[in-house]
Amino acid sequence: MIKFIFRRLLMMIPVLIGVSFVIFSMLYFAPGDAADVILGDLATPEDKQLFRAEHGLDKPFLVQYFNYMKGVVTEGDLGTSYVTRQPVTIEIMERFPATLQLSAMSVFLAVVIGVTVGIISATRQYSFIDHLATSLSMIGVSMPNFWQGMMLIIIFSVALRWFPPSGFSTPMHWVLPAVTVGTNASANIMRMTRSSMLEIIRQDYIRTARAKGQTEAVVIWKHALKNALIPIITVVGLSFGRLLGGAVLTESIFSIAGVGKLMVDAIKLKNFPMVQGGVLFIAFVMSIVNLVVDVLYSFADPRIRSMYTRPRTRKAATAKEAA
Amino acid sequence: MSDTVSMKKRGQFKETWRRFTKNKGAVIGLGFIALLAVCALIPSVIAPYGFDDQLLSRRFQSPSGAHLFGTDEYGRDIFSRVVYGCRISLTLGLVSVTISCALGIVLGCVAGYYGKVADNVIMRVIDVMLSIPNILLAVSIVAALGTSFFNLMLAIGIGAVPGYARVVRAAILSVKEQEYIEAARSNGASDLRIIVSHIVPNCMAPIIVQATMSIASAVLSAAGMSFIGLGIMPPTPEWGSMLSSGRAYIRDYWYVVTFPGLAIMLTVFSINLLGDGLRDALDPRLKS
Amino acid sequence: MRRKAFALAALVLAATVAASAAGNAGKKTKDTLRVAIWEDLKTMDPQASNFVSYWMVQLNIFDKLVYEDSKGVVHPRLATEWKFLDDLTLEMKLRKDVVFHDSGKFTAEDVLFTFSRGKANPVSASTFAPFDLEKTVIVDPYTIRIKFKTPYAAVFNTLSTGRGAIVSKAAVERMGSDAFARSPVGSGPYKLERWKSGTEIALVRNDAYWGTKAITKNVVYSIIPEAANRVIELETGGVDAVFDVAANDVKRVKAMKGAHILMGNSSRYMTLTFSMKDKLLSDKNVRYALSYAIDKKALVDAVYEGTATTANGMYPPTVFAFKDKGVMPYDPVKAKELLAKAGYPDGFTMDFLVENREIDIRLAEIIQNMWAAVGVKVKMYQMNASTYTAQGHKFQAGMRAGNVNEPSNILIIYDSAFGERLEPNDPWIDKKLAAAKTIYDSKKRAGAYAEIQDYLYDARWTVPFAFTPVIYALSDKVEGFACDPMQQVEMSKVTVYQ
Repeated sequence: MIKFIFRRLLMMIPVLIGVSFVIFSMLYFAPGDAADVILGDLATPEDKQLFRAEHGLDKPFLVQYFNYMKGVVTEGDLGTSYVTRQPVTIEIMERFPATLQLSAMSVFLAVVIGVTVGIISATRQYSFIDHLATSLSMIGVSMPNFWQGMMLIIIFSVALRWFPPSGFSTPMHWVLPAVTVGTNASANIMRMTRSSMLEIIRQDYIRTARAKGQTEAVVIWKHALKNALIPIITVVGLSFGRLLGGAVLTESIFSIAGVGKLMVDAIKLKNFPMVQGGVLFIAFVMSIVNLVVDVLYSFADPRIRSMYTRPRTRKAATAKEAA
Repeated sequence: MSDTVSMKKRGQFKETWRRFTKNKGAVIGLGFIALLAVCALIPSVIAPYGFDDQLLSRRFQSPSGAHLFGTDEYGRDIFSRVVYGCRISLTLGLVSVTISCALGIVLGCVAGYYGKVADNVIMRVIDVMLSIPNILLAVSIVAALGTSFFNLMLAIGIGAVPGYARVVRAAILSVKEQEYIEAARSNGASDLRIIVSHIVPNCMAPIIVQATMSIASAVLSAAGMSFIGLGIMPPTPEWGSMLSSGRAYIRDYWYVVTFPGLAIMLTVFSINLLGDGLRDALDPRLKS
Repeated sequence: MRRKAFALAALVLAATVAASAAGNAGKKTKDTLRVAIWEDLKTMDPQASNFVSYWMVQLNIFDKLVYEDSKGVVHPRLATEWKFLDDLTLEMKLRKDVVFHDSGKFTAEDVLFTFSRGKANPVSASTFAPFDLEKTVIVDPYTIRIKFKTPYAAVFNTLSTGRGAIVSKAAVERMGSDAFARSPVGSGPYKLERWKSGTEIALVRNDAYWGTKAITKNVVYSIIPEAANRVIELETGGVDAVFDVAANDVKRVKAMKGAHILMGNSSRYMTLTFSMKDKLLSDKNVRYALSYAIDKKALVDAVYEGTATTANGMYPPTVFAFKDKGVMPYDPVKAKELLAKAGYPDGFTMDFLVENREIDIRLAEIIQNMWAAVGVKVKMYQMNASTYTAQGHKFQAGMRAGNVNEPSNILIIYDSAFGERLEPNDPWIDKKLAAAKTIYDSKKRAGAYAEIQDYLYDARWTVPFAFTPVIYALSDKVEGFACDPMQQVEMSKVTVYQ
């Protein structure tokens, strides 16, 4: 297992290099000059030249990329923001706690609601509750979450005065954004739980368990859920990863200073070091999340666990990919 | 030979269609999408006004017979704009899905069929793409290429490529070793021919389902991009940008954001219903 | 209709009634004032700042040498007295009892150091350009003899706006400019206590302040970019004061119990700009046609909901030497005639660059529609403020907001030396602009600017169309909040009651 984790950590390196290269080239070839953007039109051509020289922007593409990566690898230095002239690492770490917290809370909410409702739905397929739950989840995945956020503010902040409309400082501030972000994720998780449970329930070993006279609760929560976990874990991992950099809309509606908003602002401003550093950081965190997801797989499914202890066979690999 | 195949196909289609129509939700979804398609094809016939008919003396009129959904902050008829918006959203969904589908199928086929080095390289590229949140990827692409309708579709399309590549690759892995492929190979069929005429048709079901679902998420992403000002430029009646520009008035004039919001929701909702229906119809294993 | 009439009456009231609200007398005060602002600062370095939103926070942390009020009267601050020894020499005497937040003493060295930073930073360089620092002399620690290369009529404006804020030389040299930009050391009534980027900026009273000490101990600026959310925060008690209230929220605040609107004239204006290096737009008939095609009054009334006025001059009336030229007329028929005369009877298509602020986009959409009515189609581009200033010159037409209170700084966009936006390259205007900067006599200077305004009105390189107000929303428990045209509100004078 440890060997597996170590190998996965090693595999992250090429991925991160890939991410940095993709983003670096995209920004490099984007129209517009950082010196223009950062210094504004009051700057003289000499000022701009000086700025380019200072930031190494006058060097060829590959040299720039190499210099940047050298800093990242040797000193863990993601560079300095053009706009605030602060280290990118500091800026990200200032924003990351809010984003992490928002993602974690939303995912927690989504798992609790999604898995519970999904199981209830699956065990009572075609009942009133099932229809209600599937319809609601369908609405949940279909609703633009920025629209939902606005509606929540109108109802719960303005009309009922239960929760504050903006910021992220106290537990009361967390509720509306977490619900906004969590709705979509919980709907997804609910749908995934329901369908994989439905598939499992029809399998022979569940019938066997039932036939052996085990109570329905044991059958469902122990045998069935355990086997339905893989796709559920996948969806949870995906939602969590997506939220870490992708909750931009929710962050802007609730005026939360998170990583997503930081990144979008940086992209708009052509604040290259911020964008590169930020994307690299997010990619790193997402890789870690994926790794955790894979480790969880192995707890959920002994077949996958065996894959890590024995040489990887094609069949097992296929099973995993299919999952 | 070809006769029996097509007959078999027709029979398969009939069976699938029969299963599909048994699903009430899916039929409703399909019906609503048909309605949207009509709006998208002939908006000028359905909409009583043009999408940019401003009249500043007519601002913020409540929904009425003259203006079904009321008028917006420029005195434009919201109903007409929602109708014209169908064209934008559907085009966007279809084109971006075509882009991601095409790229994804090619990558998935190569990775799945050839395996080894090709597989490793492609899957690492996919890993790279999966490590960047879709919206950030889309925002960066739009920032690099500039804001335009096509670039937006491209940005959203590229973000969805990994999904297809994975689905196709998994599907190929599961059929690759089966006898009929071996048979084709031993008959001397080229790789391309095997992929195009034997493998791809056999993994169409998951692709169709994936494509349907991602039209829905493309519509949502586009609305989101417009909302943060990197999507479609005014006065084009894109639903997301209607929400974005109307949000300042949300507390005074509910209809300004309610109808575009509902349009997005119902569209995505029906596409998802359709997708669910298709999945169940194409994969009868899931139906009891 | 009745609601509208009420709202209008309320607006008139708001503009006249002072900020002080009845019923607070005798109540206990709170020690924290919470204010909602619309964006975070990128820097606390005054010489690196060129946005009103940066200065309005910095002004509570830093002091300036003088303060020039809206009537042009110059009041002493760090400088106690001053006189022009000749047209190129200004001698200033400085206060001796001033210490910076790090307890360092304030002297003439800090003044000279601040000027040299201003000259070195591209963001401030143009306003400090006339300073001749090689010849500037520190006579004694509390006397400085400032030299100019040319007579500098706007010197007191420069010294009293944001870029003139005095920084501690010792602190900057100790920390370096980049660190200073995050933890500023000034001599103002407040010190920076904490700064959570994108979220809030907290100030705490400077008890060693040389002047009247701040009334309220803590000031917390909450950064809330969404205009509607700022008002909701006031409504739900999250903040006591709101900067930059959206026009459509004005009547809501008026109807709110326990809160009111404070509105006044500002130095903010909106204008259309035409690139003169563009062949199409260098035709005067085309520019006049584009100007005639816009119904400015309908546009301004719709977007600003009656809070702004239609522009009747080249810059706002709050600025020195404003000349009332009347509103540029609206005449779509004439617009079409002129287009035909210029050789475009069926119109044409051009770029139109807009800053991606909600209100700007709203204005642009209406303008786009009005131009379309005479056959001119536009391709709209949206950019945020800093990209806009950098890329503006690449587009044919643009819309920009100005917020400056000194004519020479407003009119800099017409100067060839500035170059990058309109590029009229007109020798007459260059000469006149350069000359006007050097006239100390305010009557003569006003005359020079009047002449320039006539010329610009006629040239129609720009079409100013709106003078917009500053709008604050305040809790009734707030007193002493002064309505400044540039949003430079001195928090040290504000009281919050319980």
